[in-house]
Amino acid sequence: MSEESSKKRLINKFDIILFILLIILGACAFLIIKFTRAEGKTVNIYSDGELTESFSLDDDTEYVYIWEDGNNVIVIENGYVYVSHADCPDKVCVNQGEIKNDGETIVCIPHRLVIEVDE
Amino acid sequence: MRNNRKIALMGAFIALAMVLSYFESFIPVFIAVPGVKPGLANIVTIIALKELGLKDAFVISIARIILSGILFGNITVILYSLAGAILSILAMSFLSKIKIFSVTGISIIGGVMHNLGQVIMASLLLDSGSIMYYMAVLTVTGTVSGALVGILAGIIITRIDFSGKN
Repeated sequence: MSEESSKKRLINKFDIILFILLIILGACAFLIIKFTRAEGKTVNIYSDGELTESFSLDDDTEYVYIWEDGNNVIVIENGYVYVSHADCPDKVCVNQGEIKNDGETIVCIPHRLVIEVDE
Repeated sequence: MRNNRKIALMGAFIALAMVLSYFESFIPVFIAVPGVKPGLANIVTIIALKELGLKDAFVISIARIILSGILFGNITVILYSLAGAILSILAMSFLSKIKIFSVTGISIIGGVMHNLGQVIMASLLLDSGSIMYYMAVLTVTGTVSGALVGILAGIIITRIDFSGKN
C-alpha cells in the first residue's frame, strides 16, 4: 500500500506549528478582550434578539425571564450579574457565572436569551 | 470498495458517531463557556473522510446530527451542529487535499472550524455579535480537543484496515 507511510505519520512539524500558533492566537485574543474592557454600567436583556429589559448594575435586583414555558432567574448583586437558576436542559447560562465588564454576555440558547453588560 | 461493504460501513459509522455524541452529553460542561466539548464524534468524521471521501463523510455527519438531534436534542442543537459540521468538514477536506498537515493538524482545523460555525450560527440566531468574543476561548479549547481527536483517529486508521482487502 503506497499510502501506508503517510498514514503512519500521526503528527508532523506543521501540525505542531499550527497547534502552537492557534493556542497563542486564542490566548492573546482572550487576554486582549479581557484587559481592554471597562466595567459596565447597565445590564441589557435581549429576548430573541430584541431588547426587552434594562437594569443598572449598581442596583441589586432579581428578574425572572420567561420564554415560552421556560424561565431564567437573573440576579444583579454587588455590581455583578449572573443567572442563578434556569430550567433549560444544558444550564450553560448558570455555569457561565458572574459578569460585570462592558461587552460581556451570558447566553441561554434554548430560551433565546442574551444578557449583555453595556456602558 | 464494494457497494454493500460501503453501505454497511457507513451504517456502522453513523451508529458509532451517535453513540459517541450521546456519551459526550454525559460529560459535564467543565468550563463556563458554551460549546466546549471534546467532539468525540469527529473521530468518526475524520476516519470517514480519510477512508470513504468527502461525500460519504458529509452524509455520515449530517445523518448523525439529525438523528442525535431528534433523539437527544432539539432543533436549535441540530442547527448549531450542522453549521459547525459543514464548515468543519469542508475545511478538513480541503486540508486533506493540499497534504501539508497530517491527520492531527487536519483535526485541529476541524475542531476550531466546528466552533467557528457554531459561534456564527449563535450570532445569527440570537442576533448578537458580541457572542463572537467566545471564539477566543473556543480557539484554544478547539485546538486542544481537535489535536486529541486527530491523534485518536490517526491511531485507529493505522490499526484497522477498513478496505476489507485483508
